[in-house]
Amino acid sequence: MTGLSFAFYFAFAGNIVSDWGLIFGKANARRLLEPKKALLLLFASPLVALFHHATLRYALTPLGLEALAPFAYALAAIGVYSLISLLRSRLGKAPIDEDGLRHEAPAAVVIYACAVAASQLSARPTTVMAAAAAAALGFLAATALLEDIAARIELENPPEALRGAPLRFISAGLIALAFSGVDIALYVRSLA
Amino acid sequence: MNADPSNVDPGRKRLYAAALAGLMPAFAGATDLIDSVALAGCFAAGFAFAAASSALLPKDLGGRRSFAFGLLAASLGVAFALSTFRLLAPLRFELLYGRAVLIPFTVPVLEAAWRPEAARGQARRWDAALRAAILSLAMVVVGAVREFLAEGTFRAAAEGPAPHAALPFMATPSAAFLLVGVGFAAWAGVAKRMNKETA
Repeated sequence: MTGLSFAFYFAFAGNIVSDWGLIFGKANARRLLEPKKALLLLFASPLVALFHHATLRYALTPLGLEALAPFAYALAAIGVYSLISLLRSRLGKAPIDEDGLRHEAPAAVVIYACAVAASQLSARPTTVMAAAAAAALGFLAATALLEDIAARIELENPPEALRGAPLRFISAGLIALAFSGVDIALYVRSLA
Repeated sequence: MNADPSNVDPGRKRLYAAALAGLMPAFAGATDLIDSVALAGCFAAGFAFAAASSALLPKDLGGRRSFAFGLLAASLGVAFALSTFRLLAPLRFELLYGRAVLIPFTVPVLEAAWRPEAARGQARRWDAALRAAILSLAMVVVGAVREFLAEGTFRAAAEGPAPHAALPFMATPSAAFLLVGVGFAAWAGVAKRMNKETA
């Protein structure tokens, strides 16, 4: 698969939102779409993908311990957080409080999902990194689209039981249904 | 009783909405009964390990350290459940792996790992355990419904050729979104009606 194929695959068929089910509420989705967070997703995803690929290929798979991959990621995430806290305290800045840490959790999940999705597609580290960046881009595009749809539907005064989360899920389902058509038409058929 | 009887408790609705959205990768991966039982088992193990960690660690450890241990415990819980599933069904393990490894980082598991002052106490703990049981059950039900609608039967119990599939698209992740969305709306509608009748 070329870089363009990865971008196309993760924009539609293998989209992290529609295929992997990574959907967030209004507040978290808007936070993830902020330019600073979006850049973090785009740059961190390839690095985490490389980490995931390397730990899986060179440490966990030879020992038959693939199930411990989330433990390795959690350990690495805690290590990075401790390092950032240490740097902040050295620079005289306040440490990240518990609310701040809670707000970072959705970004950490998205980054890991991009890494896992990318590492399932290729065995080459560079390709895995490119795929992870494409997956992050696809996630941002789909989340922005879903946010726009949800905002538009709110203007129509839908029935009370459907307001909020149910309509968001149903909208995501309809987008996913359209995207799965691309998957079936282009990817699944070519494998058969 | 709610302040406004015409509404479902908004705090509760928000809590379940966040939990369902957080667990959507598992719902999307649960395409049949066996997969959904495996993913529900992974979620239950992750949740139990995280909750046990946050309950058993010393109270003076501090919120962030306690959360870190809870997250590691949840990852170990999921790894334990996933390894057990691998022994039982190695081929299905390969298919479910991507979805299952995300479970320790989903909202309900992270909430169990978290130990803010307000969430301490036996009542809150039981409330969270009940919510986890409901979510696990919901995952199994969604998987079973998807398999039945997509295949026309349950593969684990089927004998002979499968009957004609009614809704093949139920095997795609979009079906999980639609089922959870419609189910959640139905729950909100029923809860609203029951609140009105009580009032």
